[in-house]
Formats: sequence, structure tokens, C-alpha cells
Amino acid sequence: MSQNEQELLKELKSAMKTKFQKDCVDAYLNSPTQSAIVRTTFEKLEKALNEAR
Amino acid sequence: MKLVSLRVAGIRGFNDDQSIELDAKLVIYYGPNGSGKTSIGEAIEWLLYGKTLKRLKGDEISKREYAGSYRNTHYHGAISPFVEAEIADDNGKHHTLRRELLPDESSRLTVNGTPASDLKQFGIGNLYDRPLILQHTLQDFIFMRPKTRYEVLSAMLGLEPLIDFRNAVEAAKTEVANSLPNRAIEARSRATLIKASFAATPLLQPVAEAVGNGKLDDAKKHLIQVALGRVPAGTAEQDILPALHQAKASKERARLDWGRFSLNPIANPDSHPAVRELDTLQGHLNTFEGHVAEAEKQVAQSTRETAKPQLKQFFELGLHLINEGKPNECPFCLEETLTPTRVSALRKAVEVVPEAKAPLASARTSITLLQEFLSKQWREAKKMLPLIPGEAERETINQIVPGGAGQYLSSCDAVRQLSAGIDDSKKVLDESLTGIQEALQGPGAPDERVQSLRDTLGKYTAEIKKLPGVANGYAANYAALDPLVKLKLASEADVRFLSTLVEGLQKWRDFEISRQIDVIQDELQEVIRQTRQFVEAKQKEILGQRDLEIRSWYQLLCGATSVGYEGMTPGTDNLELKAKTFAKGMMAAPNLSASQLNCVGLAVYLATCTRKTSPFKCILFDDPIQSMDDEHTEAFRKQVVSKLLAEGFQVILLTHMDNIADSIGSLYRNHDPAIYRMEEYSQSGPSVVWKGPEIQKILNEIRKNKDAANEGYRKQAVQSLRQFVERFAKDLFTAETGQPISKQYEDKSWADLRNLLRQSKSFVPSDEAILEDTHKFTSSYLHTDESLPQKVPPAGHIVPHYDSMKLLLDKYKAVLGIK
Repeated sequence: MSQNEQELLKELKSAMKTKFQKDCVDAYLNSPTQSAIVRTTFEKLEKALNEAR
Repeated sequence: MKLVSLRVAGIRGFNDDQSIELDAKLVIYYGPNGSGKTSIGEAIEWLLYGKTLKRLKGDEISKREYAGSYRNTHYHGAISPFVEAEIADDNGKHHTLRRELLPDESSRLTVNGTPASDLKQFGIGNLYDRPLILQHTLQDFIFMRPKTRYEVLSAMLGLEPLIDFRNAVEAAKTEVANSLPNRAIEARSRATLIKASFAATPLLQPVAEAVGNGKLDDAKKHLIQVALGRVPAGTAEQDILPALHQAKASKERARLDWGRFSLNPIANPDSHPAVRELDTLQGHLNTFEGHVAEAEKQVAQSTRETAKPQLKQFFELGLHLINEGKPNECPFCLEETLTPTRVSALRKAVEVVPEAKAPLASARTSITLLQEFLSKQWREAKKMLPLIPGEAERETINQIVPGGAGQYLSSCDAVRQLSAGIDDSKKVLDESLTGIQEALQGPGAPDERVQSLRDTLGKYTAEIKKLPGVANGYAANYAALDPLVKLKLASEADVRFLSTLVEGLQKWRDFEISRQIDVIQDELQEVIRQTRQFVEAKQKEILGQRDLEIRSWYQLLCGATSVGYEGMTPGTDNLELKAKTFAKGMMAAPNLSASQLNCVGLAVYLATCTRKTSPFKCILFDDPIQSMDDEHTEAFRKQVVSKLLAEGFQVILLTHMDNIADSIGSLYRNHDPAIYRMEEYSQSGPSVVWKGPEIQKILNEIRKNKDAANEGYRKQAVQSLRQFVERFAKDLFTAETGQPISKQYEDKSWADLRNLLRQSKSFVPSDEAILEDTHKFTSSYLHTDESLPQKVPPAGHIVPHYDSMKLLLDKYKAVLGIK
């Protein structure tokens, strides 16, 4: 990902409201794939399920 | 990114492997139409994108007609047709891009010899985001549909990473939904069912709504409030669940289908079918008795002697037992005492009185009718009786209204007793009727059973007549007890309600899990929404900026005019190009002249190519001024090229107009233009002639081959280095002295060349060592001694010499008279 593209995504990240939303952008910045977002989502879900026990 | 050089073989107009030099700030290729200029632009376009706009449009017209058109018709080279370019990135680092055409018209791309799927590492990918302004595509943007125009321009804005991110989140959302953990899926499915139960229960609908709105705290609070109303007062919140269980068990015990025991009072008992038809039964009995009396009368009046009944029975038995095989044998003594005459006499002796036959038949009909009416009447009578509770139900009633159901239960007993009495008396009556029916089948008159029929019917009638009283008594008691029972009775709905409360509280965590899943999915949706919003905002922002830039370029080309391009009007998903005629607005595409539209097209591409985020720092123009009038051409020549060069862009101009090439070359001579003439096109491809100083051409040759992987090219670079040193010494001498080079200096040694250099006053002695070093370097590879080990320098060894020679040429350019 070029510098410009990274800058654009960082700008998008700052427009996100919650930590999870920002995490999604971060995950994509680190690895621009669908699975990076899926992984981040499941981490959050697993945490939520454990808290609901 | 800038273009340094191009090599093409077998693509478009290029047949033989040819090099196109592009290593200058301003590169001009000029030549007549059909000399192959456009093939240069198309070769670059195909290299960068693997396709060309011309071909895309052609395929839309006729795929068959355009099939195979990337490949040069005459090409028969041993290797696949290819385009190779040397480019310099923003840091000045050089890269080699190469695309080979495969037989199926797909291509194989390599970057620095390594296979690559695209050129995104250089920011190259969108066909419309290009450094190429080709005459045949200049007006594409203008004559697109407004929607396509919007999409194309949006794609040119460099927002792909955002679009890619949004697509990735959308795909991730689907993947997450399809691969949730089992416990999450189960919890969610349970929560859905419980929520549906809440929604179906009016009191709990607010709970369902709050759950639906994601307000779990409110929902639980409401649910507990409702539950507290169903358990003993003062129950602590933590004890609600066991208390609810207890309440539910109690309600389950109080479940009774009370309504089915109800009975309406009989208003007019005498008109009830069951009572009314007692008279009909009596009428049938009377008729029957009349017929029987008539039969007896006939018998009494008969003069016939009839045998005594016992004797008749004996005769009948004997007549039945006669063996048909031995008709004369007496069945009792087994002697042949019977004759036909005797048998006939015996038959007459057992015959009834013939006159009595008719009334007896009528009697049988009457008794049949009586039986039928009895069944009907009995059924009606039973309908008057209510369904009464069984033992378990009586117990439930006693639990619900302890001590209050005595009278009702007594009336139940009365109903049961009466029902049994009716059934018993009917049974006796049925038996009596059956006996009489059988008796009437025999030869004689009915016996004394006829006499008892009246008594039996009388008893049955008496039982039936009790019915209205018992039924009404029951109805009254039921009605009296009904409100008390209903007050305490637990309905199915009550029990279901308590079950819903218990289940809701017991499985509340399912709602929490379900909510978490929803929250996460909502969050992903929100990411998508935010991204979409961000893209839209960015689009508007960039489109606005781009419009300013387009207008600025247009102004540069056309100046301030009364009629001309006015600007873009972006809609939600379309983009209109507006123009003005004096103060009045109009659409650009249908109303502007061809020259003005060309200027709009140029302005659009220029604004795109020169935007800050463009990966390109070079622009290739292919006859951009073909359809322009003199005024616009002049503006292009003076304003546009000047602005591009001033902003550091590499300008590559392909033109068929010699005067334009000359004037631009002359106008921008300070930018060291490289000018080439394209001669008449031949079967082997375009023919290019260098129009600059020879020494510059030699330096270009070195640059082209200095890093080549192929040893042959590197060897050529070494030869060019040697030529450069020689040419430098000779040109400097000629430039300084104005004298031609004597023949004695052809292919001379370093000592001879040094001699020439030392005669040049402008030559700085310290530069001598530089040239000597390069001369020596070339000597070690240009030797012809086979015993020496190496004939070609390794890759990278030529580069320092090239750099030195380049610096040297720059230094002495003025002396050498190079513009």
C-alpha cells in the first residue's frame, strides 16, 4: 500500500467513532485483506461471549 | 514516475525490436501521419494497463473485428511480443517494467524481472488514471453518459483503497454472519424464540420492543416488574425465579376446562323433543296393542281347531327334523310312518289362524317404529344432560373452591343417577321390544310379554320426565358456582404467561449474547456506512478541487471567453459538464465547438495527470492540437507546456506537425529537449532518427544498456563508453578550435586523445583523470586477447562511468554548443 493510500485510510480511521471501528481500519492497514477484519471481529465477539457467561 | 526508455517488439505498429528514447524533460517525436507515433502511446498504455481504451471501445463494437489487434501483423519474432520500459520512480530509482503478449491476448507482467500481477506498487492500476493524452481518446470523457463520467472521474480520484476497504468490510460482515460459533448461534436462536413469546403476550410486548431496540437494561427492568406482580409481595429480586417457579406450579394444579361442564337451563321442558316424543312412543305402543288385540280377536272367532301350543311346538319340531332323503321316516320313532297326507295334516295343525296374519304384521311394523322412535328420543334425552366432572376434576373443583361446591357436586350426582336410571330403563325396554319382535316372528300370537311392554315403557317415561328438573337444578348450581371457579381458575394463557416469565429470566444471557452479535454486526455496518460517507465527502471535496483545476487548465488554453466551458455539476451519481454562452448556462457536450471540446478534454486529463496524488510525473501527448484552432494551439505551446515543465513534469509530445516540434523544441531549449524525427513507416516498424547532438545519442546508448542483464547489451554499453570518450575529446577540440579532426586521430590511443584535450583551453585539467579512468575501463573489456579472462563487465560496473560521463557532458554543454 502506497504512502498516499495509507494516509487516506488513516484519515478514514479518524472519522470512525468507536474503538472497534478504528481497530478494523488498523487491522486493514496492517494487512489489507478481508480476513484481517474477520479476525478483529471474532476477537471482539469472543471477548463479548466470555463476558456474557 | 517518469519514463526513461521504451523497447517494443511485435506490438501495434512495432514489428522488429526497437528502442524509443524518452530520457529527457521534453521529448518530441514528430513525423507524418502513419509513421507510428500513436503506436508509442499505445505501447506504453498496454504496458501499464494490459489493455488500451481504443481496444476496449473496439471490443464493444465488434470483438471479432478487433481480436488479435495488439499484435503486429508482420511480427514473427522468436519471443513473445513485448513492451519493456525503464522508468524512474519518485526517488530516482530505476525499474524495468515488461509485459509480454500471450497467444490468448492475456499478458505476463514482470517488474525488474520478477512476475507481478499489477503495477499497484507504483500506484498504477486505473485505465483512466493515465499519463497519456491521446488524440483518439481526448473527447471520451466528454461524450460519456453523465453516470459513467461520474464513475470514471471518481475512480480517477484515487479513492480505490477506501472502496477496497469498504468491500473487504462488507465481505467480512457476511463471513462473520456465516461462521458464528455454535453457542452464539444457539443463544441467538433461543433469544429469538423467547422474544417472539414476549411479543405475543400483551403485557410483555414492551419487553420485546426494548429487546428489539437493543435496550436490554430497560427490557430486563420491565420483565422483573411484571414478574414481581406474579409472586408474593416482598419477594426479593434474587428470589424471583424460584418464586415464579412456585407460582407456575400452583397455576398448573389449578388448570381445569370448566366451561365444558356448563349447561343452559331448559326453559320449556314440555316442548323439548325428548319429552314431546314420549307421546309419540305411547302412540306407537297403543297402535301395536290395537293390532295385537285384533289378532287375538280373529283367533278367538276362528272355528278352526288348533292344536294346543305344546303340541304345536312338538309338531313344528318334528317337521323341522324330517330327513329330506327319507321323507317317510318319523324323526322321533325312526319308522316309516309318515305319508304326504299325514305331513300335510301336521302342517295345517301348526298353522296360525290365517285371519290373524294381517293384524300381526301390522303389530310388527308398529313395534319396529316404536324401536326407531325410542332410539331417537333417547338420544335427545341424553342431550338434556350436562357433561359432569370426573373424580380428578371434582378434586380440582374442591381445591379451587374449598367447601363451596357441595350443591353443585350434589347436582352432578343427581345427573349421574338419572343418567344411569334412564339408561337402565331403556335397556329393559330394548330387551322387551326385542323379545316381542322375536315372538312376532313365530307362528302364534305374542305371549304375555306384550302385556309387560306397557309397564316397561311407563318406567322409562317416568325417568325421562325427571330430566328437566334434574338438568335445570344442575344448571342453576353450575351458574351459582361459575363466578367463584372462574375467579380462581388458571387458564392455559396464565400458565403460558408464567412460563414465558420464567424462561425469559432464566435465559436472559441469550439476549445478552444475541445483542453482542447484533452490536458487532451493527458496528461493521457502521464501518461500511462511515466509509461510504467518507468516500462521498472525499469525492465531493476532490471533485470540487478537480473542477477548479480543470477550469484553470481550460482558462490556460482558452483564456477568458464569453462562450466556453463553465464547470462540472456533480449529482449523487452523475456528473454534468456545463458551459456558458455569455451569461446563459448550457450543456457543454452538445453546444461547444470541436476545438473547445478538445480543450475541455485536455483540461480534464491535465487536471487528472497533474493532481498531487497522481503516481505520474510524466505526460505523453499524441497530437493533442490536431483539432484545435491557432489560438488554442498557441496557448498549448506557450502556456500548457511551460506550466508542465515548470512543475517538473516530463513532457513527451508526439506530433505530425514539424513546425510545432521545431517551435516547441526551440521555445524550451533550456530544458534540453530530445527531438526525434520519425521517417516513413516500414514493415519492420517505425523508423526513428535522432535529431540531437551525436554525443548525447551515445550517452543515451550507455544509459540504455549499462544495467542490462544481457551481456551483449552491456558489451555494447562499454563500446559506447569508449565512443563517448573519443567523441568528447574530438567535439571539444572542434568546438574550441573550429578545426576539423584530422584523420590521424581516428581510433587512437588515450595518449592521442589526451593530446587533443590539452589543446582545448576550456578543458579543466582535473577532468582528464576522469576520462582516462573511463578509457582504461573500456580498454580492459574491448581487448581482443582471448587469454584474458573477462570480456564483459558485471552488471553495475558501468554505472559509475556513465554517471561521470553524464556530469562531464553537463559541465561542457555550453562549450560543446549543446542546447
